[in-house]
Amino acid sequence: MPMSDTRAIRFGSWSRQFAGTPWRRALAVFVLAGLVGIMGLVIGAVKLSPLALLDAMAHPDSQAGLIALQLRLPRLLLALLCGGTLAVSGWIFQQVMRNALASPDTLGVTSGASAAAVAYLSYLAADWGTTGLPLAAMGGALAVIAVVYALAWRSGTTPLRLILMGIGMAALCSAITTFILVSSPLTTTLSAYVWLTGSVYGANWVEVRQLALWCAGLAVLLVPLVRFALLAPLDDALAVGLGVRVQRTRALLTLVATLLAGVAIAWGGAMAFVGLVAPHIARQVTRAPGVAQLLTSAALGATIVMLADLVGRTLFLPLDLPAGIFVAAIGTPFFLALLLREAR
Amino acid sequence: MSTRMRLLMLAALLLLCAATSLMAGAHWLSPVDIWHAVWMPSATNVEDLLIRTTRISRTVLAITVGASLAVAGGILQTLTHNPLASPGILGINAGALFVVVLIATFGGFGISWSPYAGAFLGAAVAAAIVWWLAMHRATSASPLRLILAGAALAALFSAFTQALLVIDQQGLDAALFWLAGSVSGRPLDTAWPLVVIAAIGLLLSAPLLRDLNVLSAGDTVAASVGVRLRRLQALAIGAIVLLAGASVALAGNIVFIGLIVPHIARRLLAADLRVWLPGAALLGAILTLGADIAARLLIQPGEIPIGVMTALIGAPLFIILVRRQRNAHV
Amino acid sequence: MPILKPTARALATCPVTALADHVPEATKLASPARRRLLLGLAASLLSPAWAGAAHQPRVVTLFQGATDTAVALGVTPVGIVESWQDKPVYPYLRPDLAGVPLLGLETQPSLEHIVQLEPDIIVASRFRHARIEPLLARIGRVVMLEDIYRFRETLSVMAQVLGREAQAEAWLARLDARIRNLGTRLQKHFDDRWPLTVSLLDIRANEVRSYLPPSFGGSILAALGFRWNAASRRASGVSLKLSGVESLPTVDADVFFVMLHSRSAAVAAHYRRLQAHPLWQRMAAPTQNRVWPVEAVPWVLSGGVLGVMHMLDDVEHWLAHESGRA
Repeated sequence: MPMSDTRAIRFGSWSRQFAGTPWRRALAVFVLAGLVGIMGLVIGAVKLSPLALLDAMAHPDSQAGLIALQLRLPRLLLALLCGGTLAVSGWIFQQVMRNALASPDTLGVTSGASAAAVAYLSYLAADWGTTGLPLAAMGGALAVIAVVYALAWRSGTTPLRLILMGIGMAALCSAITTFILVSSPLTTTLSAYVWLTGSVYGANWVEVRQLALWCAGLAVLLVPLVRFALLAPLDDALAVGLGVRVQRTRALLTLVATLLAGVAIAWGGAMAFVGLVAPHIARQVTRAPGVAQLLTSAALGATIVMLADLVGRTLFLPLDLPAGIFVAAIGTPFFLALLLREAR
Repeated sequence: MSTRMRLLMLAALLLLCAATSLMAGAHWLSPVDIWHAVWMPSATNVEDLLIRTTRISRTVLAITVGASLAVAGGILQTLTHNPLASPGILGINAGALFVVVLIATFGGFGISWSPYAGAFLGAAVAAAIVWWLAMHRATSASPLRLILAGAALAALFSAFTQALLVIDQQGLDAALFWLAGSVSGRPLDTAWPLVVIAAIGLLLSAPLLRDLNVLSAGDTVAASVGVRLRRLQALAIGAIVLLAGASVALAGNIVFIGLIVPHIARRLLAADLRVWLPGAALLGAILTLGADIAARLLIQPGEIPIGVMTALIGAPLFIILVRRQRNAHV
Repeated sequence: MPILKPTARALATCPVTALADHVPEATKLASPARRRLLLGLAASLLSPAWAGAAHQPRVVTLFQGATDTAVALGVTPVGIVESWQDKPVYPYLRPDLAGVPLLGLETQPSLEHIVQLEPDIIVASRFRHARIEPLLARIGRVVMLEDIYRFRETLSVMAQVLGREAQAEAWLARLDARIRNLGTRLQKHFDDRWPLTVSLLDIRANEVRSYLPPSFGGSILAALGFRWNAASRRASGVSLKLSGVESLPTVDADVFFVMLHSRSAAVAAHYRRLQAHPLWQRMAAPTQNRVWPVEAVPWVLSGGVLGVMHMLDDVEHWLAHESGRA
């Protein structure tokens, strides 16, 4: 990228160079996310104008306050966190696997979490309540990625082998999920099915707080790893030459990405596709791989899920449909258009 | 062993599987019973009734679906020069499934065969999109992009299917049958038109074998030896729509057969498509039949959906195939 | 859908809260909300605020059984969720529920709509609505039933909360009297052939389900004295799933009450195929001409005492038909 496009920020001896355009574009995406977020607060069964919204914030006990602060805001935040986290997870996977196909979905993470969650809902929820569901989902995600890694290991792994194993494991896990769905009593099937679609319906502040804590923790873990993620697309031999311990950083990044996807799925259900599409679009928006691209990706993921939830709960009033349904409906057209435009 | 011998052995294995499929189930029947049921059926004998009304139809269905999916997968892989291409991964099955569920949700417009017609419509629409993408300069240049586009399509169609199911929850359970795949409960006397259509699809692909074989060396090579690419592609896509549409209409979502069987057939037989594609048809039928037999025996008195069973068999095979790849890049 | 689930009972039974409060509807609430609930409950115990008063409580019902029960108790809800079949409201409830606003799907009712209705009482089921319980508690007083199909519990709990215990007792007395009476008549009619074996069959597009005694419909048949065949008695859970005609003999019985799962052509075609099949024709009920069609709405989907009354009507009609034959 041309030097004229970069800015430097200095604090005493610390200095960083930022490429101008990617950050400007990232900012645009953030503004977009903010607008969608505001729309999400304004639109609903009851329309609240921005002024009414402010009034509602000031009077949390009023009807409007209840709707804005207890119903819409936690839901919006949960959508934002789930979408953002999934997108970051997908971005890391795509960097590490050097493959645009990589995502929590194709690597089997989503399917593993789903299989575990559906098994939990069908067999254990009766005795243990639904509080263990997030843990089950995360356990499933980790177990599957461990198996994928083990299967792909042949004195080290290669990204492509990981993806192929992931596709195999994903299919195996969804077969297991289908089997549980078919064999369990129908009433469980229904709740499991809604969960599988991915939904932020009924989000409350406790859930938002839990998910936010997880996200914050994982973000701290991610910060020192980001520069390795940026180097990951390099050839293995070249990276070794640069002093990167390739296998170790690959494993670490995979673990963090899996955990990120795992927490998102644990609280938002198996929202497929965000992790694949958002980073892909982000790469189109900010071409240079960098922190700007990572953040753009997160903002795009959040936007997609917030928008999908907004559509889901308002388009067919009074029906309140799971956001997961509309994620693909919103993401696919963009995605296909981008794929076709890319080579021009 | 010559490849001809191997093909013959596959055929023999298929016959053996078919015979087992007629015998196996909650009631095991003897070969004598089968002989009796096929050649001198009586209207009062329970064994004869069982064989004639349920076992024969599910056996024929499993063979048809397995062969169709394997051939559709093989043709797709050749056509797109992409080892991962299959009706499942490119979203063709998902398209068929979506229209089936869509029509089932609206009560089939009062016509009991309308979901089947829908399967073809859905398969055709999805195939048309995939075809358009595959022919597009941007995607034909990169096999990965076609797969990505296919994955996106599959996600889109399954999102639509989910939307329908969440709105019409009473239909969920009928739809689960399609989503999980099954060859039971489709008697041949109503399903035979679909079997015929699948057979037409298989026959249609037979004269394409020679050109497809040349095509596997590359589009430019094929064009240079006088293969009319557009015509070949159009015919092949037509065959795929018939095969995949009929499979989904007959048995719902059956995964992995279209993806892995062509690979196994290539390994087992020869690199020559004229040999391995027919071999893939046999192998697909064998695997699907085997899956169905296991599906009805493992958790009696219930049944494992056959789509689940093919995944349970197919995924480990796929993993073994990937691990066996000597290619350093994989 | 389906009102049956064996394991649902315990779905959200959190032992801690169960020990903490002995109020039936007490649930896991944030503490201010719980205080409000307890205060509300205390107030209602001291002076049944709406019993007999001109002011009727504004009730929102979030599952089919609660809607049915509210109507039975003479309370018209101010908001209800969409029905599973014959949308949006079951035909037998339509006269009583004309104009009542709909709140969306039973699995995820629109919370914003509920807020606007300003309900006094929200009747929900822990099985379906455990996740939104804290939110519902902020909107109104929440009455959580464990299950969606235990109509007796739904009736008594709702009656207590609405101050209509007398009506509930009247319903239960009527119901028990009808069951006793009908049971005796069945016994008298079939004499030494009683108890007959029964199968409650649900014909779906691609499979057949047989409901067992623990199910909503099955429990009524069991109370009337019907028995299930040996194979069904061995089965656990609320229903048996038959895949394929080969397994039909497991549900063989003297009487079949048969419902079609939906009004789709595929289901009707499947039932025609079954009836034409030699294995079906050989079973006891078809040979003795004792296959009686019933509606799925009361038998599986209603979940309330009015639905049960409709089931008893069905059995009475069948008995009248039997007597006419003899």
